[in-house]
Parts: sequence; structure tokens; C-alpha cells
Amino acid sequence: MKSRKTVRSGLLLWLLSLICCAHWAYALDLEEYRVKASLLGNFAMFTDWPDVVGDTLNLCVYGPDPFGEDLSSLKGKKIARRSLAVKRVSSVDALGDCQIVFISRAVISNLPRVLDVVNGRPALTVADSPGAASRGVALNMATEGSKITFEANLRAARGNGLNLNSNMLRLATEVIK
Amino acid sequence: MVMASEDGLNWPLCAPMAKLGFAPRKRLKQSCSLSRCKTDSSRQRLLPGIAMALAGTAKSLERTIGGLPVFMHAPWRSFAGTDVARIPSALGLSMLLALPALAATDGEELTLEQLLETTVTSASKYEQKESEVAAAVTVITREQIRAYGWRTLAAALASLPGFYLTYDRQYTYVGARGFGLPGDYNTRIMLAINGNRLNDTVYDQAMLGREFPLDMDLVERIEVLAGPGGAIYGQNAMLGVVNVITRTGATVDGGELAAAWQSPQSMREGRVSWGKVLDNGVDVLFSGTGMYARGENLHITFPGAGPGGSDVSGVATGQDSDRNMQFFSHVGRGPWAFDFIAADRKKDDPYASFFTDPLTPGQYGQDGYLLTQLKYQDDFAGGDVNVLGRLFLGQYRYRMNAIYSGIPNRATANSGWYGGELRLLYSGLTDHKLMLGLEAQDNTRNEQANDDLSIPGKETHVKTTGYRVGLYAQDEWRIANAWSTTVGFRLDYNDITGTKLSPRLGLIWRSSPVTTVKALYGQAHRAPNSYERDFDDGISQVANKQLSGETITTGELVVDHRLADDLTVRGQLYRWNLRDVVTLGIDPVSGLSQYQSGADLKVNGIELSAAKMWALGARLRGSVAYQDAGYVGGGTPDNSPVWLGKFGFYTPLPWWGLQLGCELQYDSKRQAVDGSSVDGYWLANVNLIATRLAKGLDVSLAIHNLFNQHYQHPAADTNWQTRLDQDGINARIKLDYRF
Repeated sequence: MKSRKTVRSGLLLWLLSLICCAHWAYALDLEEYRVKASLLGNFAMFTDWPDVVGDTLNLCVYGPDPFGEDLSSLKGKKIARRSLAVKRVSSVDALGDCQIVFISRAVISNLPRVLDVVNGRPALTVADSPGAASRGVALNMATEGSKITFEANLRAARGNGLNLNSNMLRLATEVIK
Repeated sequence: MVMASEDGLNWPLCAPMAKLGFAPRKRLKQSCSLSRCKTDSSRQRLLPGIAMALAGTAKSLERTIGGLPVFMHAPWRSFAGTDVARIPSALGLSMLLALPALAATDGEELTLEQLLETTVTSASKYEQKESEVAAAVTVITREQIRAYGWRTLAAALASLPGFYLTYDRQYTYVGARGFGLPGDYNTRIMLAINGNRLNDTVYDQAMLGREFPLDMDLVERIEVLAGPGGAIYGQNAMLGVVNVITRTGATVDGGELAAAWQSPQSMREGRVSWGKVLDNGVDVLFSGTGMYARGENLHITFPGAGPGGSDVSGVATGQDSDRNMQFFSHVGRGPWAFDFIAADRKKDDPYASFFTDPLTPGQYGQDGYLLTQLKYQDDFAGGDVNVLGRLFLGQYRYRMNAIYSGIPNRATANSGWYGGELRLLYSGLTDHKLMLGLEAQDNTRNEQANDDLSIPGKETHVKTTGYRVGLYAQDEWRIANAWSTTVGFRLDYNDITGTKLSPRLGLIWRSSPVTTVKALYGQAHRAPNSYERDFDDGISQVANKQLSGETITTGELVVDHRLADDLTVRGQLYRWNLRDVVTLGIDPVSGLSQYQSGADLKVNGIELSAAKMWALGARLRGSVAYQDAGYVGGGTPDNSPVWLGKFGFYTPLPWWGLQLGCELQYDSKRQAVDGSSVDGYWLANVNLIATRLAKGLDVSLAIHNLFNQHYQHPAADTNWQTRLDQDGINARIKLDYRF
């Protein structure tokens, strides 16, 4: 009896939601890099950072910045006891103090050089270029249809002493182990 | 000293001057749509986020809860992880979950899963997808160049539908869609580096093989427009436009050393590069390359080269060597960029082209370049106006050493030019993108000389100058959601052919989100170059001051269809008409060779291609092209394969950062200059790369002509032979070290 009631109320809610909100369903559009910026924040959140990492997580964008102002909302965000800082770097020489390294598409051909610098350090590499995950990037975003997906290279993350949260990995389209 | 060829024309047996060629025309400007992408700063407000929740399945909602949404408003937190999560109706839950999002106005308020369910729009203002450009445009990336191990621009172009190569051990020629007359010096292909034209003013030549003055390791991408680009680029843009975009200090970001060995050609090559964005924001890149190859010791027969017209044959030992030195530098800051390119390449000629002494060492051709460009490109008026301005200065130098009956003959050519271009893009009108440009080039130096030491005092000097000016305009008009059109023209004026109009028209119909249909019409003109029009030594070739230009008119239908997110197919149906093609004929007065306005040709063809990519980086590309080229009066042009097949696949391998690239190409038979048939062939290449084998070190092994196929290419009518042997299996090991 109780379950019937629950089903009924659920159905009612659903109908209400349809009536109220159906017209919004087609209007939810976000700019690609706004979503990707938010994903970056989530990636940082779903990564287990080792103790050696201090109180600041430096998110560094390597190469031409495709985010613009979209990253500014991440500045100062709290991730457990740490807070996020955003940096733009044009040279791998400046990646030494970066915990999250986003390699922009324009310089993805320089990925081997980035890996030369960051591998072995607690740094999470993120990109949005096809095939980057299999070339050693820990998290790589892609666009499928009009949605953003991501692949994970667990081996790359673990190689840098980072663990990726399994709840996040379940959402990845591919996981390289 | 003439010999009769099968087409009944008499060719000079002894053509000591420089190169014979068919010619092309104008210059390159890169379309901003191809060369840059700018982020639109306009923002769409996030509408209530319930949609994703509605779209979510029960399973995915469970994930949302389990995965703990982050960066959410406080109401979210109160729902997540509480008993609310156990509400049995997923749809009802979706409603509840959606509630907090009603208050959300920004992306970071959403959960990871919601973000993944969000529909995104691409914000680029200028960046266009290939399928949206009113032209058949293809971009070859650095990743592809690396994956397949292409060492020449020509090898990269040969992977595209409808393109095919011819190599005569001096230059590599690229034919397009069944049109590639032997020895035509690629005059009908417009070639540029960062938008700066390379085609010189004497021969109009596009250097596409090892003679290309830039190391392929410095190429960021290659933009290829198949078909006429005359409406924007003018001279030379008849069969295609090839714009090579270089790497910069930002993309090199440090030092690089490369060393390669290739066997059995005994090729040794080294490169050192350094690039950085300096602290003051200046982007610098310097690179130098040196290469030497001993080449092949070919067994060659020279028909009719012996006493009394007998054949000569033997091994041309040490006569295939290739030496190349290249320097590239780039300095940029903000909207400014300066490129400097210097290159010198010397290639021995084992085939003794231009009917020189067979099996005689010391015969070579040498090409030198000096190219500079100062470019400015920036946005104004909030991005509505984009201004591109450039100044360029170029020099090309040719030296040829030939030996006739033991006596050296030296041919030289010097070409010099400078000019500028200004282009404005305006996107401030709704649904319109307007482009207006003006380009001018002064050809300050067209010098050709020949010193025939067999006739004391016989020296030929031909000197001319010239100029050209082009005005172009274009509008991309989005008529309706599914329809857009591109209308453009270029009005050229030059000192040889006067005023010419090159129009362009494109209609694009996005018939569905996954299907785009384009109908394209285009025209291009090429004025004859100085070599075709002015060279006159009174022995082998006479000038033709009345020589007029040639014209190509094309119609094309392109269908792009996305079968799946990672699988696209393209079909192209086209018709090309070439009129008054400049060809080598005989002057009725002197009986000597002369470039004349020759035949009209038509080409009908179809190309089908498919590309698939996998999430983890594997890519597959294949195409089949059928091209039926013929003279309007009947007859088949030389060096025109009817079928071309291309297949390319590369994939990362799960071990040691290995990546494997494979290519298989099929060229059907081609007609040689004597009317005989040169067999078709299959060619397979593989390339294996180990990335970061050690810190900073990549190693690759490339095998070309894996199955050691013996194949030949048709020769030009300036060769003793009608067909020329190509290289068999060869292997190259390359080390790349970053520091």
C-alpha cells in the first residue's frame, strides 16, 4: 500500500516536472569551455591528493587559454582542505609547481615534453585532444555529439602517485588501467 | 638535333636551358577560418538545469548520488546522501534533484554527471568545421605527419583523395584529380608557408618534395584546398592551394635535436631547433637542418643516347645524391609575426634530363630560397573586425649544371619579388561574414641565363620584370538555419594577361544535423610565367610574347555525412574544365620549341572517403577516387591515373608508448609520353614510434615500400626515358631528443 502511494506520488511529481519544465529541456545549452572548466574543478575534487601537496592546488593552463573567464570561478574554490589557484603558463619550465596541468589543444603536440616535466610528480594531466589519454594524459575530455565525455588513464595518474575516485571513473567512457 | 615523338611533334634533342614546364599562377592568403580560432566572449545564461536530470536514467541518477555532486548549492547537499536518494521513482527523483539547479546560473553549480549530460555549443567565432567551409578543405595535422612518418610535403598530400605523385629524381610533382602533366613543376598548385607564397616568378614552381624549404618536423599543420582557389589566392591556385602552418616558439618550447639515417640511400640528416615564449612575451623559434643522401646506384638505359642512335645503359654510380640545408626562424609578439626562411638544395641527376650526357657524374640542379614575411593580425571592435596585413619579400635562385658531349653547360635563373596584402574580415552583421582584401606583388627580377660553353661567345640572358594586383571580396551569408551561401570573386590585373575575374560560389545545405551538402562553383586563371613566355636561346626554345593565360572552371558536389560520432563519410562529384592549357609546342617559323596556348581538357570524377576514430586515439582513413581526364578533342593526357586508392591507419599500442602507422596506396596505370602504359602499383609504408623511450627521447622506424614493389613513374618529354624507376624498400631510423 505504501509502495503504491509512493509510485503514485512519484508519477505525479514526474507529470508536474514535465508540465513545468518541458520547455526548458531544449534550452539547456552551455558553452563548451564553460562546461570543461567545471569539469576541471570536478576532476580536482575527485582526485585523492597525497599529503605532500600543500594547501594550494595550482591549476595551470599550458598553451593558449581556451577558457577565458570561465576559469575565474574556480579560483579559491575549496577542495577538502586545499584551495584552487589558476595559472596560465606558456612554457613547460613553469609547470614545476602545478598540480593540475591542462594542456590546451594548440600545444598538444608538445605533450611528450609536458610529460617529461610532470611525470613522477603529483600532477594531474588533463587535455581535450583526441587520443591524448592513450598518450599519457590522465583525464582527456572529448565531445560526443553535443555532450562532453572523458576518458581516464589510471596508469598515468597512478604513475604520478594520484588516485582517481572510482565514482568518477564509472562515468568515464574509457579507462586505461 | 630534333627527334620525333609519337605525337608527331618534334622535340629539340638538345635542350640545354633550364627547365621545361607547364605553368600556373598567384598567391596565398590564409582564410582566417582555417588558421585561427577565437573564443567568443559572449555567454549564454544557463537555463534551469532540470533538463539533464530529466534526461537521466535511474541508473545514472544513482551514480549522481553515489558520486557526490560537487560545487553545488547548499540545497543540493541536503538532498544528496540522504533518504531522499531512496525515493523509488527515478523520475520523481529527477524532479527533486532538479530543484536546486533552478537556482543555478552557472556551469560550476552542476554535478559531474550533469555536466556530462549538458548540451554544449562551440563558441568559436571564426573556426569553422571542414564540413561548413564552402570548399573541399582538408587539414593534415602534425600528429598525422608524425604517425605516418612523412618526410615530405608531397608524401602527406599523397594521402588525400585524388592526389598522386611523380618523381623524376630532381623534383616531386603532385597531380590532382587526374591532371599532372609530366614535368609541369607544380605550377598549378599554390604553395605557401604561413600564408607566404613560395611559387617563384620565373617558373611558378611549388617545391613539394625534399626540395620544399622547410623541415617537415617544423610543420604544425597543412591546410589543403582541393580545386581552384583563384577567387581568394589568385595566381597558381588552379588545382589546389597548400598552406603550411609552422610550429612556433610556444609549440616547440625548448630545444630539439633530431638525427635520422636511411638505408639503402645512405641518407643522414640532422636538425637542431630551439623555441620559447620569452618572459617579455616574444615568441621565438630558430631551426637548422642539414641532410645528405648518397642516393641509389641505379641501372639505367638511355634510349638513343649512343653513337648512331644506339642505346646506352649502365649503372649511374653516385649520381643520385641529394644535399639539403634549411634554416627557419620565427619571431612573434601579440599580433605581429615575422618569418625568415633560407634553404639550399642540390640534387644530382642520374637520368640526365634535358638529354645531357648519360652516366656522367657532376650533373645537378640546385634550388635556393630566401623568404621573409612580416604579418600583423588582430581583432578590433569587440572581435567584429579582423585585420590581416602582411609584407613579403622573396628570392629564388636556380643553378643547373649539365654536360653535353663532355662540355659543361650552365643554366641559371634568379627570381625576386616583394609585395603586401591587406585583408579585412567583418562579422558585425547578423548572418554575414564579409571579407575584403587587396594584394599587390612586384616581380622585380625574372632572370634566366644559359652559358653554352660548346659555342664560344654563345650566352643567353633573358631579363624581365612584372607585377600583379588582386582585389578580392567575399560574403558568407547564412540565409536560414540550414542554408548558407558563399559568394566571392577576385579581380586580378597583371602586366601579361591584363584583367581577369575569378568568381566563386558555394551553397551549403545542412539537411540534417549529420548531413551537409555543398554545391561549389569556382574559376581560376593563371598567367604564363617568365620561363614559358620569355625564355629564348635561339637554339632550343623561342619566346612567345603572345602567350595567353589558362583558365580552370569547376563544378563540384560534396556530401558530408556523419554515420556516428566517430565515423564520417564524404562523397565528392566534380567536373573540371581547363582551357588554353599552356603546353610546349613547336614554333612554325623557327621550328624550335615554344610554349603555346594548347589544349582544352576536361576531368570528371568521383571521390568517396571515410574516416573513423576511436576514443583512445586510433584513426582510420580511406578513400577511392575515380577520375576520367581527357582532351576535349579526344585523347588521354599523360600521367593521369584513373583510379587512386588510399588507406591509412594509426594506433597507439599498449606497450612503451609505441604507436604504429600504416599506409597502403594504389595508383592505377598512367600513360607515358610515348603513349605506352606505365603499370599501376600498390605501395605500403609502415612507421613505428616509441614516444618517451627515455626522458626526452623518441625513436621511430619508418619502412617505405614495405613489399619492395618495383614501380615506375612517367617521365617528362625532356628525358631520354619514358618511365623512371622509383625507390624500392628503404628504412629510416630517427631519434628525436628534447632538452
